[in-house]
Amino acid sequence: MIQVRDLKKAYGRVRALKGVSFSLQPGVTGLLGPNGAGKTTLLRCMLGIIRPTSGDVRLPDGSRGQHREVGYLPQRFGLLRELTVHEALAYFAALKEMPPDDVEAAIDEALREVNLLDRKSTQVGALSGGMIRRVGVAATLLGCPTVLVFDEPTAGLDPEERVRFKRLVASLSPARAVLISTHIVEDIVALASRVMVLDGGEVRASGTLEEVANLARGKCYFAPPGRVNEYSADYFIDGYAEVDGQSFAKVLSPRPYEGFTPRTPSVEDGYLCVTRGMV
Amino acid sequence: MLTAGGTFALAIAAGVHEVYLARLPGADLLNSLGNYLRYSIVWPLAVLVLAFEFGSGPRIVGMDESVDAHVATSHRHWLATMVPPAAVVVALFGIILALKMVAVFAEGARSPLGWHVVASVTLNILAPCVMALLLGFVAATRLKRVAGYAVVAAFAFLAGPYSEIVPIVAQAGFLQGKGGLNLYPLRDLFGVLAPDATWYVDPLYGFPMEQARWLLAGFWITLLMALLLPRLTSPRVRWVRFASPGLLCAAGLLLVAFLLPSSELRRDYRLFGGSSQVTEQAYYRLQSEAPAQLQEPARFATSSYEMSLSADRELRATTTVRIANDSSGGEYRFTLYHGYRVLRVHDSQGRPLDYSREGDYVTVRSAEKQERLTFEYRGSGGIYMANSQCVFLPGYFPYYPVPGFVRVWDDLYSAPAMDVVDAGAVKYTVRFKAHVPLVSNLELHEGRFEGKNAAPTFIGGLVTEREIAGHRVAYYPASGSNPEGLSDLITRVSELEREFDIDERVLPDAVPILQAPEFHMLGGATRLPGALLVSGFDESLAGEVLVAAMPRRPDRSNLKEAFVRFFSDSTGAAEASLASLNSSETARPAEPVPSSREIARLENARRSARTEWELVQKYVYPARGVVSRLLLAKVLADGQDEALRDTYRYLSSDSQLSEIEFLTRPSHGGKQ
Repeated sequence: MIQVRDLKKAYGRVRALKGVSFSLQPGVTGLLGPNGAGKTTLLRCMLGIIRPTSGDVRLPDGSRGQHREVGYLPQRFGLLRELTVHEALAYFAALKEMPPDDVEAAIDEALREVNLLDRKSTQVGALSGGMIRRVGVAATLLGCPTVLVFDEPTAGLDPEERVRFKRLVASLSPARAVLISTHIVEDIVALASRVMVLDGGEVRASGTLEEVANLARGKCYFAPPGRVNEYSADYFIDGYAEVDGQSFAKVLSPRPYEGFTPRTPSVEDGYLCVTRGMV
Repeated sequence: MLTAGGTFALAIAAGVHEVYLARLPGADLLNSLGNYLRYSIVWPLAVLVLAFEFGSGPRIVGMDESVDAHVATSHRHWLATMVPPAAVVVALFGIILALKMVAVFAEGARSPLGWHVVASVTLNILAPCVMALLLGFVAATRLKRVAGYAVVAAFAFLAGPYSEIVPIVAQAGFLQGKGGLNLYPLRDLFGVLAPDATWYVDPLYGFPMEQARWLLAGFWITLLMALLLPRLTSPRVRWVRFASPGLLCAAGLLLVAFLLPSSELRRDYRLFGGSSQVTEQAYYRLQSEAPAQLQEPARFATSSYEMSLSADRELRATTTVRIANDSSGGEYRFTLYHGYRVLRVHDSQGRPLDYSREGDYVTVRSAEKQERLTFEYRGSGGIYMANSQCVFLPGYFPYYPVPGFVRVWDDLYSAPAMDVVDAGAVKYTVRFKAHVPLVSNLELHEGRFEGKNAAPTFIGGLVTEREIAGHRVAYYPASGSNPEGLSDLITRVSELEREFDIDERVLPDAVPILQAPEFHMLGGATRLPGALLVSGFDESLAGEVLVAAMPRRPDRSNLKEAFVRFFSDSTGAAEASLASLNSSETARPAEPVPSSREIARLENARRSARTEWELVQKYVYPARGVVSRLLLAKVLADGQDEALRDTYRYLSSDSQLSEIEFLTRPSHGGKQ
């Protein structure tokens, strides 16, 4: 549905994208990467907000930018406080050049999908941050786009809103191609069926959740937490876990050390192995 | 809303106040309408804030990226955000223009003032507001709030009047004959508002609308448009790809045109070749390298001048002078104002001639006698100007090569010398290309000014010409100047000529009476061969005309001034003073006369003065009141008619008596 070929973007001497290629298929795809990996630059180049240095992006109908076929929710989304939810959505409908006769129905449909139909006449200033984000999703849904792009959609939301937002994204039709850019692995695990790991302006890994998790196979161990400092530094502590009432450090290491117990790799382990250069 | 509302309220209040001022009896319409020009920074500043707020509003709330992602249609969003501040600009322009036009039409002063006001509001209000609108949006689309308001503050400082303090301070060393830093060119780039609007509006020049400022406004508008255009137009439109570079090229050309050398700003205070009395004072008095003023008659005569003049950003001239009675010995001396750069001097065959230049003096050298010399020159006058908006080239000002060395500057008065070399009338043929209607004391025939004269004078701008009592009269209707009463004044002058037994007519029949901007004039009237320059048409004109032909003598200037005051009003100050004295001090008629001690002190000061400068400082200024009181006493003693006749005779004579001696001697009523 979206074809990206050898996309490059440089800001002066800084190469933000070093030749990114992928194709986006129906279903939810997670774009994982640490801060500064080039995720937002990639999305902006894809949507034509910024001009790539080189490369090619093909959207569903061959055009550029957000339109009826593509909905984009940027990382920082806001609306003028004076507008009502209806007015804000009508504004975006106009930007999408929707036929005037279809606008009302499309707004109602989009608000229904984000469960805000009862807030149609509410002023934006009276909405919570999470609600505004849902209005943003509704704006992306206007015109029934086949591709949705969300940039850090849960950033800044409280836990309850994050759960609600994840439920909302999950409810979106699987016929759409959804690309969610984030550095929160947990969100990807909850929503996506495929993952791309972007680091240093390059796609370092991509595949299903299982395939990415498997990148860490043979490198995941439990280590007794009291002894971690005794080992050499070629491993990474990924957190702590309790197994059979005993506390262990979750460790990523290219080889087992004394006292290490193998464990099942997760997507996060795969992601960390990629970004740590262990793959 | 508050900013827009406040701006409108202020515009309406300012406009209504201007209409009110214009409707006051005796009001100067031009100055009334220029009253708020000095506050013209207010409108673009308000527009800049509005444009920045409207433009950055969506970005501040985080709406910009989701809008920009609609690549094909986001320009509609930015256009929509521009609409409210743009509407404010249009409404502001409409309000200000409409209220000014109300005043113009109410006063019956339509064309050319109507168009002048339209052009002025366009350049001085609309253009800066459009610039502010575009700048606000450029800042809104690129800068954060703090940086955006830094741009607002920078605009207020650079475009406003206060930034002139920087170049003024930087040029300070220049005043002492040392080097100074010329920062004016840098500041000029931001001079989008009317310059020196704190001064009164010159009735001939009108509102400042210099050609360079149109170019500057064009530069900023095209530059900002080039920056903003990609945001405001659909990428589907192919020509937009070429429009921005095209606009940038246009901006570059406009900038080059703006930077072309000239100084056409009215009352320009820069000491580096500006145009004001201050500049001239700096040149003639303060700059140590300024050459001395010379007075040396030419050793040749001139029989005719053919001039081709063009007043654009500066005066461009080609003047051919025909030489007669040549005993120059191959050294032809001329006076030409130093502000005009001589480009070439050539003979009748077109061969270039050697010449040297020292300040206002040009010496052309030729091995053989010349019949004709042609001078090509261009430049700007310091006080007497010829540009796209105004022409004032009085006959006593050497805007063409005047034979011999004559004074251009009068150090004593720190003002232009008004010496006219009256070597007999010479034939002038002048083609004068100007953007404004011209009036001259030469006759206009088939697009050429022609005639025999000794002081050809040109006046152009907001000037109108009509005939009154057989005289061609040029005046400034825009400033409320009204020559209606001139007919009576001319009759009054004729009566005075008879009463005072004046042999030579002080106001010959049919001599053109040309109103000169008061700013340029030292006195109320100046007699030139073939023209009378007057500053206005009030009742003092009769007295001014009587003394106009008298030579400038500082030791008699107080008496001349006191004499003229008696003609200022038929029931005016002098007679009122008389009435007051007569009613309250009839018992002590000698009371208004200063004490003999005071008179002796002043006379001693006069006699001890070694230079004219000392004379002015030690005697003229301190004696002003004393002389005035002595003349009043003389009027009381001799009767007004007798006293004034006696005084006129004294003033026009070569008498050795000082003015105080004249006023204090026993009356006899006879000739000096």
